[in-house]
Amino acid sequence: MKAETLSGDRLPGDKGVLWWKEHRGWHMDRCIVWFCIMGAVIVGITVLALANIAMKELADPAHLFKVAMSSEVIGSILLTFGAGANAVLLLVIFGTPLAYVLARSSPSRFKGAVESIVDIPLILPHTVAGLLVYLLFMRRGWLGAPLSEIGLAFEDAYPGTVVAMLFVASPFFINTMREGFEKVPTHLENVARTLGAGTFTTFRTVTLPLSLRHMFNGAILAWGRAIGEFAAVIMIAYYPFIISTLIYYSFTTDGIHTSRSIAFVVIVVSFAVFYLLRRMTRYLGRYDDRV
Amino acid sequence: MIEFDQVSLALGSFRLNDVSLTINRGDYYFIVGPSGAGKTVILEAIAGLHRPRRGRILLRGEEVTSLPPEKRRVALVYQDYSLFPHMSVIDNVGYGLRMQGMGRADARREVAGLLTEFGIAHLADRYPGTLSGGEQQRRAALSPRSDNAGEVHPRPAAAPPGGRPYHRPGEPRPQGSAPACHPDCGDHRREPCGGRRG
Repeated sequence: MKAETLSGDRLPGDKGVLWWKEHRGWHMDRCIVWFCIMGAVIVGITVLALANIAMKELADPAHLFKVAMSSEVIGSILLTFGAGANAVLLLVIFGTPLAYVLARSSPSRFKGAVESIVDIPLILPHTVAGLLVYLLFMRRGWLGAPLSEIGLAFEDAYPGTVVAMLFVASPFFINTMREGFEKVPTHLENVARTLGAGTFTTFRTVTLPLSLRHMFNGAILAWGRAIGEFAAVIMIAYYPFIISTLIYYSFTTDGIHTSRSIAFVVIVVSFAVFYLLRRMTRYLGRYDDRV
Repeated sequence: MIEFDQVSLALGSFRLNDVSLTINRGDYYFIVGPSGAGKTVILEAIAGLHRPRRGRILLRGEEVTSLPPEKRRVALVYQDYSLFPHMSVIDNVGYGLRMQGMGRADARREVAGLLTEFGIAHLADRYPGTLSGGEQQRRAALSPRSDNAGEVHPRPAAAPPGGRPYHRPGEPRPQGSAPACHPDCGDHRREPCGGRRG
């Protein structure tokens, strides 16, 4: 049977028609076309930059492979991702309650002040953020001194990397999580309370499950921010080398060739990891919430 | 019995001043007023979701003014049914039972019978977002608490299919329980079922 509608138009999917011919008759909104062209400038810059580095690196696969397989690079990538995950874990533990309180409290001057404090790492230059962290956690710092006495050193050490990442990534997690909590209707919590659930049980069984998507999105954003940090981290922990420090170090010592290869490896790994994470969380916490 | 003794409460700029009312056991009590008059706030105050600034709230003769909602044994059914979108129908209905300390398997077993009685057993594993309006109503109307201690509806929901009452006439009701029977319940009009014992 011929695939066509009653009026004789061919149906989409009819093998006799090429897809671009099928869409030829579409009405293109001029406004949307311009928006697309302007948007393409931004996307174009990223695509060009990626294409540029990929062309150069793929032209010399032997060197790229050698760099990618070096223990220094692998160790540094693992360290960066691990420290980022560690910072995010701390954020989930300490930031989630804060986000909930901010979402549920009524507007007040105090709330506004706390919100501004949460946002401070967003507006500060990263070197300033790093300096703040350094002054607080250095060996003679307010927090660094007592913690170093119990054997927790921050200067040029893994905890220093984590705490710097935590500081710069915190607004991304807390703000996303707060938006998630704000979207959970209070009356659902009310219903849970009247059914016999205490405040924490309500949070655990109703509010948190309904905000899981925001929690994961916030965690991914914060993790991305954390592993991309450079300035704040080197202020307190130049060693061990996180990936940004390694690229910078290699750029200033070995030159562009090696640092470019490391950068390309990082691009590929980050892209793969974030793509996987996004795919994993695609169906998470997605309910048809007509209710 | 539900009693308000000169209750005043404030929510932001909204104020409820010196509300006194007495609802006897078995009574149907309708609160009528324009939007924003505070009808829902009164119901929520009965359920314990707002703490009054002044005055006392009494339930079954006991003062509950500072008792948290989970200890009041009062269930509230909101106008929009307020189903938990992340739980299946069977878990939605069983939530109250589980919060009373019943295990998940036991709660499901218990609820399965209720769902059959309401003719919605086939929806047990569906999520609220995928239900039609009528199906949601029936789910929300299922008495949300195991003890039927008391239930307040901001708005009447539809009667169950076939005009069957929420609890059948003549069926013994647990002693000391306030009505959970619905005003729209068909059988209730013909014969004073559990709802008119006051």
